[in-house]
Amino acid sequence: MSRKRDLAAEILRAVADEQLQHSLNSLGERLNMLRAAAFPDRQEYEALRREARRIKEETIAHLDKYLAQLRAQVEAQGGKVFLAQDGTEAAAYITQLASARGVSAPIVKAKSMTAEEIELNRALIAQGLQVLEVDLGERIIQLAGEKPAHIIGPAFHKSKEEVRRLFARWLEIPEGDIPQGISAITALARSALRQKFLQAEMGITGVNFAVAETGTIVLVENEGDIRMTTRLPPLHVALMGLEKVIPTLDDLRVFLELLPRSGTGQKLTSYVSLLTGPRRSSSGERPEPEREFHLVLLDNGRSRMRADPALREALYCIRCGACMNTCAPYLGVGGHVYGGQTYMSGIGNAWEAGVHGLEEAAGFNELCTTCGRCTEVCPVKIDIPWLNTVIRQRAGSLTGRARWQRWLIGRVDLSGRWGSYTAPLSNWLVRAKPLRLLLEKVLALDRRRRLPAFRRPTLEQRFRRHRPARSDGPLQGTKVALLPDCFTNYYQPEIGLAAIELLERLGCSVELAPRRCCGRGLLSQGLIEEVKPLARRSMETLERLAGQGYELVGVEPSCLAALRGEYAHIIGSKRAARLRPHLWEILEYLQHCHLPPELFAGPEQQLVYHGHCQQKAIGANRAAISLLANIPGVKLKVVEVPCCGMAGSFGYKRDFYQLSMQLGRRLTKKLEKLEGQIVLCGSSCRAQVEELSGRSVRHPLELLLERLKSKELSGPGGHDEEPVARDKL
Amino acid sequence: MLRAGRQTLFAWTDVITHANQGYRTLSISTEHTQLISRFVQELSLAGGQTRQVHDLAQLVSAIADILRERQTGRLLVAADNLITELDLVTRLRAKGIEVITSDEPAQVAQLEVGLTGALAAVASSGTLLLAGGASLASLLPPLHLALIRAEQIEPDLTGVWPLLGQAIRTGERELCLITGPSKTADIEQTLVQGVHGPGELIVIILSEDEPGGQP
Ligand code: SF4
Ligand code: SF4
Repeated sequence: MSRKRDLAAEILRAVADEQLQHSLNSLGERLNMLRAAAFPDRQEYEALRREARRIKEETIAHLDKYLAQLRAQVEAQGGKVFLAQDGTEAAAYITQLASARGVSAPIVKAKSMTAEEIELNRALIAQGLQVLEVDLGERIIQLAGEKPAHIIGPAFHKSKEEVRRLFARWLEIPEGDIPQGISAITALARSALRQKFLQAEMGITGVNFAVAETGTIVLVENEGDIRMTTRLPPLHVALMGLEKVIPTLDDLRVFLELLPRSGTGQKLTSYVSLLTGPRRSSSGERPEPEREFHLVLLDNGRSRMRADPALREALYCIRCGACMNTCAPYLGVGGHVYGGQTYMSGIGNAWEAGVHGLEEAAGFNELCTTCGRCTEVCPVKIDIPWLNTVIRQRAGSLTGRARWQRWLIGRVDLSGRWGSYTAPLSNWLVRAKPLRLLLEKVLALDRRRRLPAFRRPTLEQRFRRHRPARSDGPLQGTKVALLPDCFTNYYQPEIGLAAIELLERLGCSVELAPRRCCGRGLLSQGLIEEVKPLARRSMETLERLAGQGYELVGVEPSCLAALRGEYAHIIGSKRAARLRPHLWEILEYLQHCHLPPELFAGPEQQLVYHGHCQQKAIGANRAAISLLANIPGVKLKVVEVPCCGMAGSFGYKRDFYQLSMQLGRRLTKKLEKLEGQIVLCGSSCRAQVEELSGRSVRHPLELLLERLKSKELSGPGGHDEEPVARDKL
Repeated sequence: MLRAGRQTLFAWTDVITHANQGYRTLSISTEHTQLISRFVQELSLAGGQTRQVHDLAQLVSAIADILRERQTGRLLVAADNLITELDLVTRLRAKGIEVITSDEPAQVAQLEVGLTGALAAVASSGTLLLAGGASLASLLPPLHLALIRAEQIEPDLTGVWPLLGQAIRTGERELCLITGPSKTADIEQTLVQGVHGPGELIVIILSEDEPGGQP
C-alpha cells in the first residue's frame, strides 16, 4: 500500500508554496488563540481532561462489552449493526445496501475521516454509485481530487481562486460566473447542494461518539450538512471506528465540553445531533416512508492497535485537531507532507502505523521533533511524542537512516566529551569544509548550519575550581544539586555557572550533580533500548541525591522533559513519579520558592521571551513567565510561535534545514518588532535565534543574576563588576 | 407593569406572584435575569440574535415584524408544547400570517422562516436543545426563529443533561443541540454564516422581567 516518498523534496515544495505557508500561518495563529481563550479556567480544563482520559481508558479496556451494549441498544431501537473487519467489508455492505434499496440519486456524504481511511468514496464509485461530499471543505477536496489537509479543516489550504475554478468545473458554468465574495461562493454551493439533499435516497455520515447505554450516535458539526444528511434521505448509514463508543450519556457531556473548544474554540459547535435509532414520523397522522438506520462498525486494524501497548493510546483520540494546530512541523509543511495516506500530524503517525502499516508512518515520522507541545493541548492527554518515539524505534532503518548513524547523532555525551577534550582543535575541525561534507554525507547534518562550539574547560571542570558565593539570601538551608546536562556542560558552561551562582546568592548550598546523560539525544533518534542503561544510571544518581535532601534543578528544558516525561515509560511510571516532585527547571524552581520579586528589582529593562517547547510541555512555562513578569523594573514581552524551528538536532538535519529556517523566521519576524534583550531557555533555541536575528540571546537566569548582583553592589558606584564572564571561544 | 395574559403565559409567574416573601421573588428573578443575559451574550458570540418579549401580544407582533422585515407572509411552524399552549398558530393566523405545519421536506423547502420551540436552553454556551419534531423548521429555512421561556434556560450543559437523558430514554429519537446559525470557515478560513442550515438564528425569549429590570 505504501508509496516511496521523497520527504526532503516534499518539504522543499511545501516551504516554497506561498499560499500554503500563508494558510498554515493563519491557521496556527487563529486556532491556537481561540483554543486558549476557550479554556480560561485551568483547573476546570485539567479536571475535564482527566475525566475524559479516564473514560477513554475504561472504554478501550472493556471495548467488547461496550460494543455489545451499543449493538444491542441500536438494534432494540430498530437500527441495523454491521461489524466490518476492514474497508472492503464496509464498502461491500454499503454498496449492497444501496443496490438493494435501488438508490439511484447521488448519495450525500458528510465529512468522515474514517471514510477517508478506507477510501469509501472510491469503492462506492467503482461500483457505479455516485457519491457527493456535502461538507463545504470536503466538497472542495473531492473536486480537487485531494485528501484532507487538516482533520477538521480539510480545505483550509485552498485559495478562493482555486475554489472558484473548482466550482466552475463542478457546476459547469464559466468561471466568470462564479461570484468573487466568499459568502456568495458559499451561497452558490448551498443552493446547488440543497437540491441534492432533497433528492437524495441515501446519506452517509461518520460518528463522533456512540453512547453504549442508549444506542445514541452523536455528530458534531457547524454547517448543517450532517443534519441534512441524516434527516432528509430515508436511509442513513453511519460509519464508525470501533473506538468511538463511550459508555454513558454523562460521559458524552465531558467530551462535548472538550471537543469543540479544543478544535475551534467554540463552546459548542452550531449543531450536535443525537440520533437514537431510525427516525420516526413525528406526527402519527401521516406516516413517513420507511426509514432505516445502519451502523457500520469498522475495525480495520483497531483491534490490533488495542492489543499493542503503545498504539492503544491512539484509540483515545477524539479528532479535535488541537495537536496539529500547535505542532510546528505541521504548521511548517501541512498535513499532506506531515502525514500519511489518511491521517496527519503527530497523532497521524500512530494512526497510520495502526491502520495502514508501519511503513506508511515511517514515511513522515522523522518530522516529529518530539517536543511534546501537542500533549499539552490534547483533550485526552495522549503522549504523542512517546508514540512517535516508539514508532521511530520500530521503523528503524525504514526511515532511511541506519541505527549506527542515529546512535552517532544521539550520543551527545560522547561527542561532547570528545569535542571538549580536544577543543579548540575539534572546533576548527568541525568548521572545516571536508569534515562538514563528511558529516552531511554520513549523518545528514546540514553543512550550512553553524555547529555549536565545544568548550574547554567544561562546566564540571570549572565547578571544581568554583568558590561558593556567600549569601544570607532567603533560600538559606536549601540544598540544590544542579544537573549538568550535556549541552550546558560541553557547550555553554557559563550558563551552568551562572545558575550555580544565582542559586548560591539566593542562599542555597549548591552541588553539581555527577554528570549523567539523560539520553535525550538517543530518544530523539528513537533508540529507546539504548537509552535504558543511561536512564538507569541517571535514576540511581538522582534518587540518591533526592534521598540526601537535594532539590534537583536543571537549566535545559529538553533534558528535564525526558526525566519528567519519557522516563515514565522507560523506567516505570511509579518510580518516575516518585522522583518528579524533586525535579525542577530553574525558573520554575525560583517561582516555586516564592521569592520576593523585589530581590531582582533594578533598572528598567525590556525582556523579550519565547517559551521553549518542552518548557511548555512540562508545564514550566507559565512559572517562568510569572517569575519574570513580576520583577520590578522588568518589562516582559512574550512572543508566541509554535517553535523556533531548531528543536534539538531537528534543525541540523539536511532534509529539514529549509523548514527549520522557515519556522525560525516566523519567530524572528515577531522578535524584530520588539526592542530589548531576547531571553530563551533552551540552548538550541538560543543558537537558532542568534543565527537568524544576529542579536544577542541569553538565558533568563543570566539576567536574573545580573540584576541580583547589581543590586547587591549598588551602593555608590556599584555597577562596575563584570557580569558572569563569558569566556572567549 | 402587569399585562393581560401574563398569568396564562408563565406558569412560574404564579409561583412568584403568590410567593409570600419578596426576597424569594427577587432572588428567582435576579437569577433568571442573569441567566437570560448570559444566554443572550453567549448566543451573540455564536452568531445568533435574541429578542425579549414579555407577553403574548409582544410575542405575536415580534414574529410578525420579523416576517415583515423579510418580506414574507409565510411561516413554517414546528409542533411544540409551548406553541400549542399559547395557541400561537391561531393568533398568528389571526394576524394574517400563513402558517404551514407540514413535516414534508418537499412542501416546505421554499419557506423563508421556520419557528420552533425548544426543550431547554443553556446559558453558558448560548445553546438550544431541540427535539426531532423541530428538525425541518430549524434546518431548511434561511431564518430559524426559536421560542423559549426564560425559565427554560439552564446555567450550563450539566443543567440540561437530565432533561436530555430523559428525552432519549423516553423515546425521543432525534435531538439537536443548536448553538448559533449554520457556519463554515472552509474557504480561506473566513467565517461565513448559513452554509447548509439557517444563516440566521433568532431566539425569542418570553421573560417575566421587564426590560431594564423595571417592575
Ligand atoms: S511532539 Fe511536537 S513535533 Fe511531534 S507531533 Fe507533537 S507538537 Fe508536533
Ligand atoms: S491526538 Fe488529542 S489533540 Fe490530537 S486530534 Fe486527537 S484528541 Fe485532538
